[in-house]
Amino acid sequence: MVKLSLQTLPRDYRNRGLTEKNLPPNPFQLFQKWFKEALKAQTLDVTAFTLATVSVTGKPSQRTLLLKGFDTKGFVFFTNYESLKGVEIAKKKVGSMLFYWATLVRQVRIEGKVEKLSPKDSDQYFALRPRLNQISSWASVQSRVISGRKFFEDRMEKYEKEFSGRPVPRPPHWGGYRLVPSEFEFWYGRANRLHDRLRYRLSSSGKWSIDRLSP
Amino acid sequence: MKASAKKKNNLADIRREYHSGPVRPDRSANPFRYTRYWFQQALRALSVMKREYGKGGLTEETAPLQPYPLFQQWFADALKARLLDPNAMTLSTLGLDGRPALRTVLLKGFDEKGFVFFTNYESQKGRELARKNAAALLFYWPTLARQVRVDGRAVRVSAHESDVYFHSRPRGSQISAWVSRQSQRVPGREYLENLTAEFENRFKGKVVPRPPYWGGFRLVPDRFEFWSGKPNRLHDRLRYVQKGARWLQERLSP
Repeated sequence: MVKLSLQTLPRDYRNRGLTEKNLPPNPFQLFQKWFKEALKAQTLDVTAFTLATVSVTGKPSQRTLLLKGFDTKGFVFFTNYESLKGVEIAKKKVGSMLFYWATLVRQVRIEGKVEKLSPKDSDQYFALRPRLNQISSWASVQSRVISGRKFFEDRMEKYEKEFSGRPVPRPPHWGGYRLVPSEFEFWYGRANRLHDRLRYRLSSSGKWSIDRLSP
Repeated sequence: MKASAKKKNNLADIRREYHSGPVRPDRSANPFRYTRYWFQQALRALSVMKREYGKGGLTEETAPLQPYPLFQQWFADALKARLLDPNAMTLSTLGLDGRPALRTVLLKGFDEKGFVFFTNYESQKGRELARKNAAALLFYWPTLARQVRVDGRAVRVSAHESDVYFHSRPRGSQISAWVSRQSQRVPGREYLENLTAEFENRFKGKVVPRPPYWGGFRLVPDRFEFWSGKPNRLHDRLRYVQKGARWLQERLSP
């Protein structure tokens, strides 16, 4: 079996970790702080996260997405509503997100329910996308089996012609989702596997409670 | 038979097995051992820091008929690109509350039987996998614009396989396996530090044994998806689905 030598994969745990002291009462604040620090520390794909959903057969299903916005309501991403994740979210409206910022040895897990954005919000974002991405939203039958790369290229050509010389409208099957969190876990890697793990959970009264978890 | 079982439990042999020697194994006689050899050589050969971008795309003409050689090739590219944490993967399971649950874990080995990682069997993921063994892995190598998704079921590795890996770990990590009741609530960091001191004392001058609740899982795949990012969202997505002894290859719309 392939064994991976840890010596060749060094990681730096010389950080001060995460303590209960000075922890903001609201997890969104801590997320924002870490997100900003990630932007400073690494340039590539700070917004990339894994989204896990439940498949129609009840199995876990996951893929990488890019975060397109967040506020105190939740975390926003866009996709084809008829894609695999779209179908899965329509059936079971829950999701979990994971940000892993390797250079900072930090990880944030966010769980909650997933709701559709308003058409207006989706329109707004769609209009900002590069034109070819807009056209590909029409051309793609996302996650469906296709005969070959040519199938998709032909469809691109078809829609390029169709929208030639005018703005590309948002396809009705394309839009945004917002994950509204009920739980956050902030993970900070420390030496000897004694990592810091702090969990925020939303109580029914709307308050966040904080617990430390064993690493 | 008895003698070889005894030999296997010898710690020095276990260590030797983990850090297997430079003798090139016969590929046809033992493909698993050959793959391990190949990877260790690849790891040793790495010395230059290099950043690589997506190399072309992924076509039906060039993609192998089996998913494992393609994974091996992409993994080798990730190692060559000197990515931070090329063996980091997201493991997703089904939470006890029916919601998806996910976290980053490190891949500790793979062969044509599956993908191996280690954990506390009583951690959240351990309990979730005990209840429902369907699981998915996701590798994302951003500088290569590549992603691999592996779906399957997770089964426990043998106690011997867990021993082999446990005894290759740094002592501090071995002790922490005793300290941590993974994913349970703890009163504070000091509590963990005190417990660490306690266990360090207990195992002073001795080999740290593997805790009975600590060991490996092997994700046995029935499905792979290879994703290669291209401009304008014209990504390549090739899926391999297991059909009996064969793998069916199909292209998905990006």
